Amino acid sequence: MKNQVWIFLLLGCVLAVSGCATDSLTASPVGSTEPLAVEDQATLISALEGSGATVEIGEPVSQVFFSAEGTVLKVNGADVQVFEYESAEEMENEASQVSPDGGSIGTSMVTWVDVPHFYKTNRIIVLYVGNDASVLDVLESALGPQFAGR
Amino acid sequence: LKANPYEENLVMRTQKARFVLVLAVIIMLAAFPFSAGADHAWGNYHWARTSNPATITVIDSMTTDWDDNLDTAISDWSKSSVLDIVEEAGASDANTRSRCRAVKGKVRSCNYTYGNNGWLGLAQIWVRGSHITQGTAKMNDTYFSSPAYDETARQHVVCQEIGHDWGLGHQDESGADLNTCMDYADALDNPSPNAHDYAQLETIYSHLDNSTTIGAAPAGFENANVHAQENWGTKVHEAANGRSAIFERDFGNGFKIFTFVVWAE
Repeated sequence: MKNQVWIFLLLGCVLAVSGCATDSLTASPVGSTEPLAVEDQATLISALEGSGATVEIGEPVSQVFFSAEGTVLKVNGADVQVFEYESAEEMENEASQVSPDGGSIGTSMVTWVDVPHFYKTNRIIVLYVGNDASVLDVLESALGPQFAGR
Repeated sequence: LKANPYEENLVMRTQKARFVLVLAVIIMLAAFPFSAGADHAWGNYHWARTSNPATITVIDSMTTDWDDNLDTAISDWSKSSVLDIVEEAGASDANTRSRCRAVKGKVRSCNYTYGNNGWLGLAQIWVRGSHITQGTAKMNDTYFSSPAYDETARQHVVCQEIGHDWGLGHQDESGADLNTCMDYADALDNPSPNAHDYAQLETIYSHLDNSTTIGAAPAGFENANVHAQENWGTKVHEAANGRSAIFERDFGNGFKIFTFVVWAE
């Protein structure tokens, strides 16, 4: 009986410690800066620059498989296409047409010049065709993991 | 040495188990034979047609430096037992190639400097339900003008883009090189379809439809005068009370105009 009490006490301590440990992992450290919420092209540029990337606004770009006109951003020198929609619903509707591997969008099939990476958040779809690790890192930092591509 | 009866029994049981296993494998192979079967259809999109082989026309809106590539791709795809691909000369001025306007019942193939948009080739289909009604295949000269893309790469891409227009998807999405122009590999080193592609086409086109989306509509169909009753065709149904009827005018190849009429008293 006495042994059982000790076991329960020990178990309680372990749980309490692990709970504290979990809390300490999830809590934001004092003084840390929250990542900027990306809603559109302007906030994307701020977020990318905040990650240390160089960003220049380039030429307009249009794709037959997206209804929104796009803009090329030169991110660390690489072309990144940004398509901004009127609403998040409109963006989601078009993003849902992209196949998981990025090989087809609705009734269009694409042979890419390089590896395609599709990201989305709020009102924008971002397309990067390439494999530069520094570009992928800042895009993922600003937008989260890609939702389609290879 | 005299064998142990227990060991003898064990050996016999093991042999019997092996025999059953081999038999099971033989039955499995007979039921599911290895074949050129494939599963890379693009959804269930296909051209509606009433007989096989179906003849699909590709309009050549490409500059002369691409003509050989298109000719070869058309010749390759025509080896299919269910499709016969024919070429039709089309306009190849810059405006036509830039727009690459789709034509009902046909596929148009174009090349142009479509810009730094990330794609080398782009196939598009227009569909009604699961039936393809028209298609385009575009090759992007903005990239192909680079010496990085050799003749094999050009052939790979034109073969793939018009291949999509028959309702084929990529053979595999892993990026593996599968020795077909319909793979999704980074290397563009396969200028032709392979047996799996032809097998997939046979699967896609194994059934027949009641109508066709291939080619232009029959003469007189699009603007048929159906104002007068004599142009309604044959009466195929009449209500029991004689108040209404359905007439059918058949233009062939599944092109029909139905007229539903309710008679005035």
